Amino acid sequence: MLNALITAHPKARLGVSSIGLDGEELDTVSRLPKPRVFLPAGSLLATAEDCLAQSEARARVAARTGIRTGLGEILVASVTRPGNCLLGGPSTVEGMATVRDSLLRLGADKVFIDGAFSRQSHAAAAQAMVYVVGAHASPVQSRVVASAGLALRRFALPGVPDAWQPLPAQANPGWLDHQGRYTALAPATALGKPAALLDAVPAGACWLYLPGAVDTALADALVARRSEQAFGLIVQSALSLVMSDAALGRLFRLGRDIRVLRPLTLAFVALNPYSPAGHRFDSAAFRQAMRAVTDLPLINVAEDVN
Amino acid sequence: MSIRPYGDTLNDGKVQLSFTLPMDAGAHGIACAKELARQMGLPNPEVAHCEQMGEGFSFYVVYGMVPFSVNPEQVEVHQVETQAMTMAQVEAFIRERLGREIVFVGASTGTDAHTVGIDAIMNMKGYAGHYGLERYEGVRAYNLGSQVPNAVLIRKALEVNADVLLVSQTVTQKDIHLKNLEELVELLEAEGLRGRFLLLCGGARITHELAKELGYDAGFGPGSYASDVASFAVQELAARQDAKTRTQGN
Repeated sequence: MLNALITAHPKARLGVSSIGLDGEELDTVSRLPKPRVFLPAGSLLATAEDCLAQSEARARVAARTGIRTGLGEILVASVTRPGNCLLGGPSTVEGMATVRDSLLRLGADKVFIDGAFSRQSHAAAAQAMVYVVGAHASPVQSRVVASAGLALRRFALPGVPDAWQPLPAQANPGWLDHQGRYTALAPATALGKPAALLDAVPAGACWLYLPGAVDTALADALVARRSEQAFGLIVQSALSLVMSDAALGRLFRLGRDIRVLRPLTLAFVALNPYSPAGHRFDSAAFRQAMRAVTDLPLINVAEDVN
Repeated sequence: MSIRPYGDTLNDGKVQLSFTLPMDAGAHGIACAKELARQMGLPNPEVAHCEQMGEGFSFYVVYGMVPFSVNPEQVEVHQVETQAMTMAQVEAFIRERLGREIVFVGASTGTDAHTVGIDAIMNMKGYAGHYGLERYEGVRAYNLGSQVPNAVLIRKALEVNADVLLVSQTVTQKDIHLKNLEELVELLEAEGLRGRFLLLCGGARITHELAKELGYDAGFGPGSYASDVASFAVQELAARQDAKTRTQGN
């Protein structure tokens, strides 16, 4: 995916990083061969000191970020001789936002942040995201498509009216009346004790604002109280919903209005019908099944990109 | 220099593997086990043991010889690179460099019911002659046990103002350990708390590289003791404290 994006922007000065590890010969988990990340001269990369030392490309260090990772400090470097690079950037969203700004300040026209596993929180550091759906997730195509459908519905959650935008300044959960007036609730988080938070919401609440995570336990508590409490939910972003597919499905079936303060932008959905484990989906059938759950552009980088 | 597995003699390449097949034990099962071993690259495999495992299942132990070798000098591995310290050295480091009590909260999370890993690191008696974190002067250790939801771990960490979160994952079927570990990172990020804690993980299939991929600060695999975890944690906390002081000074 990252290589396809790099190749698609031959004239741009690119900045790249990764929240995990990318560009290694063998995958960390599966030990199967992995695509290398080739960067042309002039590109910028943000990677850990150990990773830069193992890169085949030659690069000049342009800035030290002070961000510490298990593989050393994150350095921002400019490629002077093209070659394969090992990318191991900051592991946190805050660190990645700092690195993104550094890459832009040093002259990157565009910054690409590669992901790891199914982690999604780092999308908060980007203007747009690419969602990758593939056979790696399961050998059963219908399961992969159903899971992707839920995720895409979550990513598409609508924003709040402009009048409610001051909400991000509120650190505590709170409830809103029919005019959008905010009243803070005492529990600082719903984590670990969802019932305590829901008990504190008065009968007249139209919305519940949660500045932190909505996890499986909270979703299930909302489902359990469906006949008693019928307020909508306001969360920071779709990335705040951290729960299993089953719980997300139950939450959506509840039919509550769920709004986000920071809507996400999806550039496109990348399809990969091949799994490193050996199985594969029929490419056309996979695309057709995915078309049924999204109107976004569907791109198989192996087939659709020259 | 390339090496191969050691069986009866050096570099003879002898290996043993075991697996279960969904068929009854017998000559047909043995032949299938041999064929699988051959497809795995083991020439002339030998079934040393075959046993019925209930109706329709059978268990096999197969001996073979791998024709492959590995050159250790050509295999890259990332490891935790802090200086290893003894318990006494960690205690002295906490006293002299950090000057305050360090709070660890540990648990075996998700559906994982195994406490062997987290107990070995945290419980006072420790493991294999290495005392656990509860024994360390200057350390307050909370071992929440097994099957702890990630949300409960975070809540406890906030309650006791933890410095370090330590997650153990023993069960790895269908990569459930990855899902549990990933969920904790995503919950911490969603709560805006990721930067507040040093986040460590450990377990049979955990490596430092995997920990990096998952968004952890360090990973500890088999053969790690409390002193390894404590050494990394206190040195990293000191480094972060120094960095914070430098930033505030600028």
